[in-house]
Amino acid sequence: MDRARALRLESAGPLGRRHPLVIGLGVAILVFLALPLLVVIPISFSAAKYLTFPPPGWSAQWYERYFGSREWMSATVRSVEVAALTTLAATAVGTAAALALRRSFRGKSIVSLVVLAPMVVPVIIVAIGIDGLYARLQLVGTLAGLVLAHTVLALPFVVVVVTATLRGFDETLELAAHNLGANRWQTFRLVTLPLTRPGIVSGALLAFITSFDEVVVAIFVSGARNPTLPKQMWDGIRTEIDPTVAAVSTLLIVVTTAALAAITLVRRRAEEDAA
Amino acid sequence: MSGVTRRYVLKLGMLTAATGAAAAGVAPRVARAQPKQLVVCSWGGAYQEAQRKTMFQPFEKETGIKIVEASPTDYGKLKAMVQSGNAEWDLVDVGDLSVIAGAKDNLLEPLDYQTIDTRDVFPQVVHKFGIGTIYYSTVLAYSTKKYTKGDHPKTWAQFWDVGKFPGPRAMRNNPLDNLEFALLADDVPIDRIYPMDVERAFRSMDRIKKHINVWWTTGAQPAQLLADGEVELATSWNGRIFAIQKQGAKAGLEWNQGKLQWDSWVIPRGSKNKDGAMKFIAWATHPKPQAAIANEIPYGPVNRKAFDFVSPQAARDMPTAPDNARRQLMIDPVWWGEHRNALVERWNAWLLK
Amino acid sequence: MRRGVGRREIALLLLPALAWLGVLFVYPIGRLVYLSAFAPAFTLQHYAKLEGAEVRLEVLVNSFEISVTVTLLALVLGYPLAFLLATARPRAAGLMLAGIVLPLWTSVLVRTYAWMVLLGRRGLVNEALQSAGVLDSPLSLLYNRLGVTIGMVHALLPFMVLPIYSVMKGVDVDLLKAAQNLGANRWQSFLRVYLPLSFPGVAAGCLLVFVTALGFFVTPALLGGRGDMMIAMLIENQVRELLDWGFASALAVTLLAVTAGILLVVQRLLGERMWAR
Repeated sequence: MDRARALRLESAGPLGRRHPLVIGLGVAILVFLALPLLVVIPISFSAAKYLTFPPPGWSAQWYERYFGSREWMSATVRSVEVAALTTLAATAVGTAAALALRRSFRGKSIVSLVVLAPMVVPVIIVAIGIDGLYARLQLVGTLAGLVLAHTVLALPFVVVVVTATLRGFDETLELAAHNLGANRWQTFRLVTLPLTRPGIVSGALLAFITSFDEVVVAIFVSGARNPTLPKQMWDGIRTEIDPTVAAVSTLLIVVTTAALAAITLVRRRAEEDAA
Repeated sequence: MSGVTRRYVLKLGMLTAATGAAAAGVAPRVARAQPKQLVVCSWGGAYQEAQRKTMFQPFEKETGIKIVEASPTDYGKLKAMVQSGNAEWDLVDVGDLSVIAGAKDNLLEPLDYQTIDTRDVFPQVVHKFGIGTIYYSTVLAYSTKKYTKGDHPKTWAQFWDVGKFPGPRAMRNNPLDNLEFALLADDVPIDRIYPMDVERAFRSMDRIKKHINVWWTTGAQPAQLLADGEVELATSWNGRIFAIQKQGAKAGLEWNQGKLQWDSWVIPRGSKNKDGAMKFIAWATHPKPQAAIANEIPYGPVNRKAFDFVSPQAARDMPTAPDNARRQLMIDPVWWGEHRNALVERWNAWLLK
Repeated sequence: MRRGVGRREIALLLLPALAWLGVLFVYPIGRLVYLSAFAPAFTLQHYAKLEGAEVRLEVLVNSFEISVTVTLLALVLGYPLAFLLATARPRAAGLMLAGIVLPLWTSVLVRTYAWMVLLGRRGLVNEALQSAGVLDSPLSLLYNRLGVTIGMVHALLPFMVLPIYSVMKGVDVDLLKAAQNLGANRWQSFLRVYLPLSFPGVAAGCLLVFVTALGFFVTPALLGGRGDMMIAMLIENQVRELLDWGFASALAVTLLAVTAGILLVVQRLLGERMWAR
């Protein structure tokens, strides 16, 4: 066999070039994953007065409806408030926990378990548990109530991401700082923090998305006076017949994409800085 | 602990505490800043939009009391919030004669009939714990895309006839808008429906059960399903079909054998703005607002003086219009008051089987 | 000489997290356990209800059936995709990963709503199949088991792909080369070396998908019909409508126990790799 072909086979790995069928299947599955998100976007620009496919024409009416509605706008503001505060709390608490989890200590596995558990316990269980607690504390429908609950859900994500970042962190740098006379806080602020910032920022963004998109806990704890955006959508899907929900969905997709893009950028820049 | 460690940990702790305090601090301020607020829960969709346009917004303008809307009304939710002492809704538009069940379950505040003027209100809808909002009907609705020549089913027996009228159907997930129709489909004469033979009604429901594609839970659903082409026949509240027709959807409704009933305003026990709620009810029961909403969506006023202000077109489309009313069945609130709770439980079990 | 990190410092760093979770996570769930078995006095009546009424049993069976179906479908679709991802060039792999991660992080409500739009009788899927001549009349894809299954497979596919991918990435290519040097062809080396090596990822993915499907709420609630009620929906129903906290707690505790059990097995299989996203 000639040299070029030999090289190509070599670079393809021991399993050779992938069978076109496998590639085709893979692409089809990726399309399947992307399809729903893509379909919502044209619907949100539909000129029809109620949900119908395909849209008879194009119009920005649903976005006008969304931005012009007192209910939708206050729900959006509410979600941003809750997500922002959740991000602050989860990032601070989660980063601290991740710093501690670097070390080994007695009971570490149990602590890890507790800290990561909210990520895997079915949300409905967390939701009714908190609902039961809040009913007696009169926290249903309050901003604090939502922030407290969402922080529980966001915390594990921050811990996981910051832990992963810390794993690649060279602790001798901290040691060097100590030897040069820095105290704990200075070390953290001037050495640890800048180098782990990408991880912390990524964790913060994930916390934000987790809170902003969260619906199940919000169904129970949001209250009637000032629901979050996903709670408003949940009600809207079941009580409205117009595609305003499609417009809101599109906006949510944009927000999630922006946050994920930001995380990718942060990580890439960190890798470049490290190189 | 050494001084430096303490400061380090202190700073981290302060950041967290600051966040918690911020959250806690904002909340009571927000709550306190709204003394003149009324939380009203209704049924969502076209009906609530009409209420917003003809009642909530004018009321706000006149009295300065801000109305915060919630939806949809749910008896279970109402019960839960009153019994846990957390009444989030100040005023609720209930249907299904829940006013009677609610009174029985001790969930409601008695109405202040010194403030609320009932001289011209139909006595039928005046109750110690609630007063009528509007009259509406549950009717047989159909897709005019499928039934273009008036060949749609016109009786419940025909709705039950899947041989002659095949096609996907939707019915409500609630015994209250179904059992009477089940009996009518079984050829029970319209004047002998009450007291209802429940066993017979459920047997009749058994026959249609597997042909129902969707069991709707919210008022907007049947209209949406017909408009989408998801179903071709459905039970629905009359105003919702009218609303979607206005938007160009191909749907129609049949008055024959429809069920005439009414919604009531109730005030949950423990409501945080009882006075505001009473004020609203008094205001909403006057002829002008009653006529305004009737002109917007064809639901019948409960105040007879309102008819002076209702447009002739709206008057014709109303469930209480003489031509429409005489073909319908009027609900029996007393019978339902006694049997509602038991039947809802039985229905839930029946549906899951 | 490195300054030892005091135990006290570790404790203080962990305190906010543990306090927060203690009050708002551990205590509420503990309370549910208590309510399930001790309200009013020690009783197992709430658990007995699980096998009692036909209704409740059917919900458990539904949940199980749906979760198994979703897991198998996710495996069939997820394995090839993971394979493609693991053997792709870095550029392509990055793009593919984005295409998997983005849906994962999009709100489940948005994804489910999109399926409601897609699967209607006059939705995109039916219209496309009809104009392609595959169908004469629209299929009923919504408000039934089929709709729920499609929606859930879509939502959970990334949970299958990512564990399998992470294990595949770790497969030592030299083992395959060795097999081929010993005379195996590509297909044989795949079947008898690669596949078994990827098994821990497959097992972890399946268990993860199964356990997540079991506790799902939003998707079956919006896409399902009356015969598709799942555990989470029943729990919600008991709490909001019927106020039966005892029974709701029993259901929740059962779900939790099953979830925890399965996840322990996953942890054994995958170890730390599971947490690296």
